Amino acid sequence: MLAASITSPDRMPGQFINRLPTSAGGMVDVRVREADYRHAAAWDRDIQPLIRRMDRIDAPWKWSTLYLRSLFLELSAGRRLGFLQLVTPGTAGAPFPLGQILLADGFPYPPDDTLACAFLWYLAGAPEAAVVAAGATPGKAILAALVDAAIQFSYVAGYDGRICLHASPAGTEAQRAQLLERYTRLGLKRSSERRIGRLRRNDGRYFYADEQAAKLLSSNLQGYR
Amino acid sequence: MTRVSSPTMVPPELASQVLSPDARVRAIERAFVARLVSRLSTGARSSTRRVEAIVQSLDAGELDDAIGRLAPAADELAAERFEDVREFNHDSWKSRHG
Repeated sequence: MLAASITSPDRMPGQFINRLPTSAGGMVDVRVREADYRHAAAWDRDIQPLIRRMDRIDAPWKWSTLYLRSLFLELSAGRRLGFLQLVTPGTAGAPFPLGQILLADGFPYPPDDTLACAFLWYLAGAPEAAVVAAGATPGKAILAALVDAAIQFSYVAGYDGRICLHASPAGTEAQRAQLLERYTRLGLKRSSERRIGRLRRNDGRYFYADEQAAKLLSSNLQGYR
Repeated sequence: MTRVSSPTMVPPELASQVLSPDARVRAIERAFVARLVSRLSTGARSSTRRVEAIVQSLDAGELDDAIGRLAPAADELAAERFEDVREFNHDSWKSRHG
């Protein structure tokens, strides 16, 4: 059993964002919600076809399969799988997902595997064309907002904001390098441990946020809570 | 992990994990898992083997048809309203997922 309940005295309570800035200088309402199989299937039907036509690493992804596969994988490891969506009002007020994440609840924290963290397995933002076609307003800083959702999840789960993720090794060399750059620029730290989660070999593409980094990343979006 | 006594029985650990907040979808999910387990005839295997078989099956796209049968449930989402969307609540999520 991981020492998941070890928390710092000034533990953050965890608070999800409820708005995001737009490129036009305004604000758009957002909410972080629990998603399920229906939402994965809807993403596959309505959004993934647009991504498939783009030069994105996640072009071949099928979220309904990723969701089920991750669910069973986490289950086999005795962990829960979280599926969260960042939604905003679309046509006729229907919620439209600006992005979504799959994350493991209680993954061994790479720098100290006696502690637990939230492991961000998959993350994707909806293309702007899909957002506009749905009658929704594209928000800015979607990557930061999705990573923040993982951090807030970590807080409410009792992991003090600790998260870990693996930058996809798929795509071209330029795409892979760009992804590393994006996570670094966001403020995540590169893991130097030889093993991740006790069994996985570190290919140099694992990132994490420790308690301090999580606090800093949270404060960057504090005005949107 | 709990062993499965019958190939058609939904393993409790799967049933407790595949649980949507929506009661009707929960029923669909349970049925889906039951079909999965039944189809793979994994009742006699260990939990690890069972999960491996399911993962392999998903990776191979073998279950796309079964997944497709769940897709109509996505149509219900059209009736959702943003103002009715509840923020993620870890406590209620955890209580459903065991």
